Amino acid sequence: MTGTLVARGLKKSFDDLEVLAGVDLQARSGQVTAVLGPSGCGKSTLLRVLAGFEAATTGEVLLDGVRLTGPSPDRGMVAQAGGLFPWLTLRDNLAFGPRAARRPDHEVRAVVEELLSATGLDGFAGALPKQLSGGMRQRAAIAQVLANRPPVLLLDEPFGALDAQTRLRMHEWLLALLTDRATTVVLVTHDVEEALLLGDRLCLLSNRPARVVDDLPVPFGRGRGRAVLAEPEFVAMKAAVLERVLAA
Amino acid sequence: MSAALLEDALVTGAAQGSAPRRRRGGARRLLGLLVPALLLGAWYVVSSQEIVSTRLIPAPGTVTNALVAFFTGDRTDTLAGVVPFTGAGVEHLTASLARCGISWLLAVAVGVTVGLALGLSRVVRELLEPLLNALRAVPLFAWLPLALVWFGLGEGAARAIIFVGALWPVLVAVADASARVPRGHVETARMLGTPRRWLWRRVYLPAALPEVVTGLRLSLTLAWTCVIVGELSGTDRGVGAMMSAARETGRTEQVVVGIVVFAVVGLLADTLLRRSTARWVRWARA
Repeated sequence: MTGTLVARGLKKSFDDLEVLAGVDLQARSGQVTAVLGPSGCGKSTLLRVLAGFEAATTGEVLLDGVRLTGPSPDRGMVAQAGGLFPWLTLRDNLAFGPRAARRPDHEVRAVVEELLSATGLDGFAGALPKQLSGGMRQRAAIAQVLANRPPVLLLDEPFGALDAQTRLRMHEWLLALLTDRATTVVLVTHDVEEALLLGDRLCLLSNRPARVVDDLPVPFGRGRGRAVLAEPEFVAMKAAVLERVLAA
Repeated sequence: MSAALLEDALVTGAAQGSAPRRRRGGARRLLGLLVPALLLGAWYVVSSQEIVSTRLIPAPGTVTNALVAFFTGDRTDTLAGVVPFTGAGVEHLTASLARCGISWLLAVAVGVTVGLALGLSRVVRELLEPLLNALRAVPLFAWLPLALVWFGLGEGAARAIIFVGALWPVLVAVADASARVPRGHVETARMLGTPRRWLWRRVYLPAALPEVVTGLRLSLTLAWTCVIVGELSGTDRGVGAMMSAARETGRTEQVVVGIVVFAVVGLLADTLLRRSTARWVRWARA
């Protein structure tokens, strides 16, 4: 599966407020590109432009060389509060994308069953989102987007509203989930630990208006778990990156 | 995944235990019968002691007899020469229900369509909102002379009045609720591949449904109360027509029969509507 997402010279202003000051970014297939930056620097705007919810003032977004306009099932986005529709059961939420794509019923059922088990929510197919815990809801929101098998997954602080323990569990769950998928992931976060734990690459943004000030590989291989948190290299890199963020 | 499963188990546990709540609900419903029962007792005392003339407040027994006669009696008693009373209950009720039902369904169809257009399109909103708000402020009775001029005495005018009365609650509820659907839901639906032209069906309408159902209930109640206004327009069948004929001939107990029929049927219709739409609003209940 291909899925190279390239942003070139993205600028975005809201009236007089310049939010993105020319962002260049390349996210590769099978990699998690973590975009890290100080609060309010324009990370979410960047992701919304990549998703197609906002048009860039100048610059372009390309998926495998094709210029993108508007949102599409090719780029699944999950935000902090999750995108589940509160009036649909979990099953219908997961089936929403495949049904919109007019996939045949038996295929929709198969996709839903697969995602229910991948999220550990097998017993909750008939539950409404409000009956699920915060962690379950975010797993379900990610599954809802994955149901369309998008080449690109855009995550906007997807675990930001969760408590620390649940968040760590979600990190491990997401790492396991992505292992077998060649999905291009762009993860926006302000949490250095989250960026280093999940990312294969790290893009550091400046304060608003945002530019990419640093782009470095994360040297901890795939298949890492929470054990990596205690390793000296991880601790050292976390401290160094935190300094860079605070100085940005 | 075991941690996730533990968390799931905790949530399932919390989701159970609704049986005691239901039992308490039953007891509360009995409580709701207490006040009507007391009023009925007071009514009985007032009329049996003749504290007030039975011409103003007929005895419960007289009303009950009239009610029974209304539905089961022979066709002998005709009010004001043209409106039958005894044995004509079903006929009057059917006429009123048909009138109300047809006009209400039409009001719902128009209200949902125009309401969605108002909620979804700024152009439509700017174009129509001032006019609709002005029309909405016109009292229902003010439409009656115009309805009579347009449709003549009888069925057409009655239906028009009920339609106007039932239209506004649906229209306002749908317009308001669909305009307030969070943008995030719309974006999610678009991102998951929903074409623009289906957003109303997949997002706006379901998201607005709880408020729409409230609008439907208000509208049905209003339609039912408008039946009497509509039936003042010279129809000779219908519960309202019967009541106005009964008033002209001074048969207070038959007027009260009409009130009882309106109250009971109105309550039944609302309950039926609430029950049949409960499935749509389950997600929004606290």
